[in-house]
Amino acid sequence: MKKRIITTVIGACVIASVLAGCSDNKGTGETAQASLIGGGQTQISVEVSQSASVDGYKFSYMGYDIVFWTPAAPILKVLGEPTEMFSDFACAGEGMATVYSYPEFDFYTSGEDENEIIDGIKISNPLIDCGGVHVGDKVEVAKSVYGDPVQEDDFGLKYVKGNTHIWVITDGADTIVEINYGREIANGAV
Amino acid sequence: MKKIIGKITGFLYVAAIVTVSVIFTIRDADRNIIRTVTIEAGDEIRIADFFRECPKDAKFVTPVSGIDTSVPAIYKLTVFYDEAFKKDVVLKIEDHTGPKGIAIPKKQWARVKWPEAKDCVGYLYDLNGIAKIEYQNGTPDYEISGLYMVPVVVTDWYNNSAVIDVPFEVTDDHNAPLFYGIHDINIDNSENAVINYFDGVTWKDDFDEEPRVIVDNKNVEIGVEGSYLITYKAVDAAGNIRTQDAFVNIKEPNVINSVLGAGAAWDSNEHNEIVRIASGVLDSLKGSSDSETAKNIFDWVHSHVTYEQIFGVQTYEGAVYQALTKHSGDCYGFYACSKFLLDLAGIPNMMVVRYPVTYQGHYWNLVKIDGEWYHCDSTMFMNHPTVYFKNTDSQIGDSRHRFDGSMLPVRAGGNPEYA
Repeated sequence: MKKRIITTVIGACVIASVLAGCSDNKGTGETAQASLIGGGQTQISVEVSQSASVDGYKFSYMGYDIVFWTPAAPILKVLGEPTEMFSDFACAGEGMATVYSYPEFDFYTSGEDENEIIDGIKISNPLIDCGGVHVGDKVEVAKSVYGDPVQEDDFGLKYVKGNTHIWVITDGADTIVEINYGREIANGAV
Repeated sequence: MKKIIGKITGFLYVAAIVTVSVIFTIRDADRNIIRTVTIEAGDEIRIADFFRECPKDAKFVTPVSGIDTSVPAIYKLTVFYDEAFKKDVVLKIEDHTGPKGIAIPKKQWARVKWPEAKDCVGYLYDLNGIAKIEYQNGTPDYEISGLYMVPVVVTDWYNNSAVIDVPFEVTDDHNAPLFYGIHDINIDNSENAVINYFDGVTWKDDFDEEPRVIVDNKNVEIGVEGSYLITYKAVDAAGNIRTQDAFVNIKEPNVINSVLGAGAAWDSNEHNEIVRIASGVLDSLKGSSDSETAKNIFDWVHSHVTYEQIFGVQTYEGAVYQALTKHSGDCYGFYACSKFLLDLAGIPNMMVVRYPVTYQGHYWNLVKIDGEWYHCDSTMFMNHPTVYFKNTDSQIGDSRHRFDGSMLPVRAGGNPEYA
């Protein structure tokens, strides 16, 4: 009887300590999987600056992209003072039409002030690169670079892409004398 | 009785000691464990990190080998130690390490657009990837020559940044190359004459040792007497262009110049040339009727001529020639080219002039089709991209086409009294 009492008391103490000191885990004793309880740090959000979506030809000059139908002011600032400038009301009723002449090209705009947009560029300077084609090249160069034109006659090739076009003007034979970028009004503004 | 009480007391005393010992053991074990551990992303998960004094038998009950420590996250794990204890702990993986990379030195012309910030740094590395690269102080705008250190900030997806100073050598070059020795060139009218355009001509640039130089001599016709404009053009690496003109004078040796008669305009070389070109165009436009031919003409002009404002006075034939050969012109050019083709096709037509003129004049064609007069306008308008063809007064009666009907024959559907 005494031994039973002693054994019972000691055993109860041991069992109590085991139960108290053991795992927080009330499971069956099987190996638990590491559970993901959160993502922790949050990632920063980065605004992706949308460059003007150009669904057409653009003219690259001095690292700048000249995109037709867009405001002219930023590019005019880059181009600086023109050698000549003419401005008059367009008879087609689009407000003011202006041509800025530079040694590199003639730069055409429509509208005034904050509404002045890029209308076109006329290149007759053989030094200016037009995407791999230069004034003075043979017309085959233009075809190899720009592909098949939508229109072709003795004096030029016309290419259309989105709401822009390129006219490759020849001398009536096979030499390019002008390359003109411009808005393709038939396809409207973006 | 006393003995029994004494023994029971003894037993209870022992039990109490044992219990207290166990409780203290448990408490010490509990105090030894670190419940939440944070490690840097990419570091190893170590059992010792979860204890102040790591027991020799401490181990992870949950497998940790499958945890990707490169990705910030929070995990619940289970550890076993001291032969008896099994505890839940929390592992936090965080990224507080910024990216690494090197600067790519740049040479920059002041006039040229500055490169993107991402093009100024290289060999970038970060465990969780680069989120953004940007100039710390915005895109530089140095206009004066010099060496500048431009800070570029590289940030990973957990907002850890590194600043990399990029050396820029800026050259402010606004001076185009200079020509020396350009002069007029005089040759005879031999068809085999050869011209050395660069004889006696040199050039120099302040920064570019080899600027690109060409001669625009497209106007020169070897063997044909005349004075031809040529243009020397040079461009340097900064894009500055210099042009300088000269003349190539081709003359018949020892021949007295004579003045030829001007001739009638309709028989002039210019007119005949335009007729030749226009006839070639018209061949592809002729239809089975005047109506069809006229429609083809206006469609062709509308789609083959680009609107370009003409400044200054332009003759009728000059406008036609520009439309046919340069595919450009203003509304007068559209009208003139249409008229020239209609005349060649034998289709009666006349000019209609905008009236009243509020801001600028405008011209279009009145064409006789199927016995009646109709308005036709091939001009490309911004807000009316399709061609006006075979329109009555009311159909073309928009703000662009106001006119004085009293000056014109009666139109189809028109009021003879219309003004």
